[in-house]
Amino acid sequence: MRTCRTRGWARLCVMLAASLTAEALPAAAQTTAPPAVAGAWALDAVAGIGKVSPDDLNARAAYDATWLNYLRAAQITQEHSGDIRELKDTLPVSVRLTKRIRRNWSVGGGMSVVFGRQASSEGATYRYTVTDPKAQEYQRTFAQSLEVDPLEFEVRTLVPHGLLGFDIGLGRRVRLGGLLAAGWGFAKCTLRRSSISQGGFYVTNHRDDLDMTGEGSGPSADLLLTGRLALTSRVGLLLEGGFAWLNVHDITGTLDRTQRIQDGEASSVELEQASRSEGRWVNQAASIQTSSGTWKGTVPSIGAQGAPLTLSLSGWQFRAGVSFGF
Amino acid sequence: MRHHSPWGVAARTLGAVGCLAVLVGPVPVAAQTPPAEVSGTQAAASDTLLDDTFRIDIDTITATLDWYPASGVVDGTARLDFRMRAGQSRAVFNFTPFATSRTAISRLVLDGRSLGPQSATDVSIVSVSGTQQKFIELLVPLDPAQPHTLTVDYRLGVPTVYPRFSSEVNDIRGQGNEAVWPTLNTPHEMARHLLTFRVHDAQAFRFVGSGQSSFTSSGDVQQWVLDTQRAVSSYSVMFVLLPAADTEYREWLIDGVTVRALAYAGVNLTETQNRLTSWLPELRRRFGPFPAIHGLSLFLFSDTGGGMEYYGGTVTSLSALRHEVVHSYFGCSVVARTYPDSWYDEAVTAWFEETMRGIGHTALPASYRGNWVGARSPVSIGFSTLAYTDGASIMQAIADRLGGTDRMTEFLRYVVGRATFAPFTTFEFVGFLQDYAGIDMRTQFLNWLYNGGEPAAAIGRAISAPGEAKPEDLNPPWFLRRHGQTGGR
Repeated sequence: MRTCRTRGWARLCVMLAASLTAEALPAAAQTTAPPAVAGAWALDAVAGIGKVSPDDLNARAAYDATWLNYLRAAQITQEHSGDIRELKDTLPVSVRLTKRIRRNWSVGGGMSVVFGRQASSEGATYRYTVTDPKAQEYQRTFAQSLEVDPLEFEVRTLVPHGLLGFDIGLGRRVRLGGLLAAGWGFAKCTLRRSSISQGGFYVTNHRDDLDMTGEGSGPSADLLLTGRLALTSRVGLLLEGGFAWLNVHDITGTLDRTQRIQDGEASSVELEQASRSEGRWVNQAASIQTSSGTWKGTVPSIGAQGAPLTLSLSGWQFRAGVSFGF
Repeated sequence: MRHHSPWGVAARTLGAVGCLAVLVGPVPVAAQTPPAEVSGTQAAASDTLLDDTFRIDIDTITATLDWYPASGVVDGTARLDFRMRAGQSRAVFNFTPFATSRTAISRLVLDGRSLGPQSATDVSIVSVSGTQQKFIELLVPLDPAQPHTLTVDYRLGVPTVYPRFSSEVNDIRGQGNEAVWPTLNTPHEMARHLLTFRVHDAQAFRFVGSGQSSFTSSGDVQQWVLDTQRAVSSYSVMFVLLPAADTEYREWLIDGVTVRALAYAGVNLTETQNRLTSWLPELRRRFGPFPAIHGLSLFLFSDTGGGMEYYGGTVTSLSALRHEVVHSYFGCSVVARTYPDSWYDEAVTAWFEETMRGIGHTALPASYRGNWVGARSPVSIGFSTLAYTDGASIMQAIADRLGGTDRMTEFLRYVVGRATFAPFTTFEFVGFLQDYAGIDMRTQFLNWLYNGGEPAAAIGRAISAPGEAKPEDLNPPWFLRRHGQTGGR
């Protein structure tokens, strides 16, 4: 059993107990109350974690993972290291100013910022010897290494929003309720990737660097359950969780790509090509022949054919913070 | 050469698809600096480098190869008749089995004098700057004015999974017949080859190769003598021995060319004949008589896949047949001086064969800047696979300047007439174009293949090679075996 030993913990314990048994406690123990009167203002600041699933963006991770593991199912000598990861987690931060318009209702506005970044790397090596009398060469040795380092996703959103809140008091220090926020989200996203492919049946060395940036905007909405615990007459703790919607369908930006080839016994780069494309992000169809079949999917691109890419940053969010009443 | 193995295709597809996220354009070049002429001094430097590296000029390679299919052994005896190149006094040759394991050679005789294959005072394995290829140096000074003879007895290990013994040349990798007999693995070194193949086995075998062949048998020994009848690059010599029971053999006379086709059962030989019936006259019409004296020898292993060209022959799939037969002109008769220069023959062949199939090429833009000849030492092995794509686009650029496909093939016929069995460099090829049509594309070639600069730097780097040559530590005996057996499928 854990006991409340420090003064701070004791105070919190008292308040928690008081919130649950408010009616039973003597008046002397009820030191403060959350602001719940019409006209009261509150400035809230929260931060937490968000779960997102930007499938169109993460398609690059799926592609690269397939590319790196295209011979994984084959019975050959192989080694793997690292792990290509999708962007799944974000850090949402929100600041809002609300005014209680009735005992249970409040309105306000604020600004939310969401930041997400995922950088990962993975490598694979394959080696086998083909002994096939009916092939062009009876016996051939295949040795190849593939590496993606890094594959980096980054998203940032800025969402000014208005909000409507409803809550009810549970005891004198706790208020539980819900919050609906709606606004317009401005999103930026970045995809960076470097890969090296070496070997194969031939001595090849291909390097590929990709840097895509884009931005767009779209409607945003948050629907959250909120909990507020008064610490003092003006300061409270906030806990909230719910679902946040932000799907940006029109991302435009630039794509910079550099390819370098230095095969065989070349002592320096044989070919270096840099290109830049500008325009809308699209889902370009791609396929990979693997030892277990043909993988088909898409990769984010610009200047290629494909359906417009959707940057989906919708997902569950859990946030905690403080509230200042005045 | 065309390579279409499943995993090769997969790997290339992956590489390509992996790069398909964006359609890539060439690097914009703000301004092109007019290049200086490649001076006679530079050309001489390149020649000096080649002479300093390869050192000997082989007249004839005579080899007897006794193959024991059941035991996976080939016992070879090879004789090289050669002279020293200008300014050279110590002979070198390439022979992979010895470079990786000195035990492969049992006897080494130079001008009647026995040398110790294991003796550090007689033989050294040296590395040369610019290439991974190893050279076996005979540490005996030789008279440059006299002809010399080197005799080598050796034993090779060959797979026993299936009784096949064949040339396994791969020009993209720069792998030639130095895996089978002592020679020099460079395109410009040409020698007549007299090769005797003796198969020690009860079952009947069939043979095709790059030259005139004769067959005799005695007991369980079947013997073929192959004569290339002229000096050819050693890496362009083809030989194939296969069980008769598993193969079909046809001979056709097509447009005056004797075609000997050996194929695994199931390969479509009717279609093979049909394709050659239209293709060989087309090649003769465009480029002149078929260059190989003996005709055309084929080993068709499949209906689909890649292929490898040889002098008057090819080991190929049916789908790559036309491509490989074009190489009988470009690559095996019209020969590049060095491996890096041999991009041209793939470029010509890919361009012509695909153009004839209706596959168009886009001319390489003037702004393109590549370095896929300049990045390689003249003594390096292999060439850039960009030859198949960007190289074909170079040929299209020439065709556009000349006025179309017919004018381009007329120019190529001029090259055949002028340079058959006279190895030339990339810049000599540019010179041919100037001589033929007065078109100077030297600037473009420097931009496309030498990064816009003079090739002097590459020559300068490589020319120090002989001075840097150093003894090569031998790999431990298990090295090859360990790396050769991992990951078998």
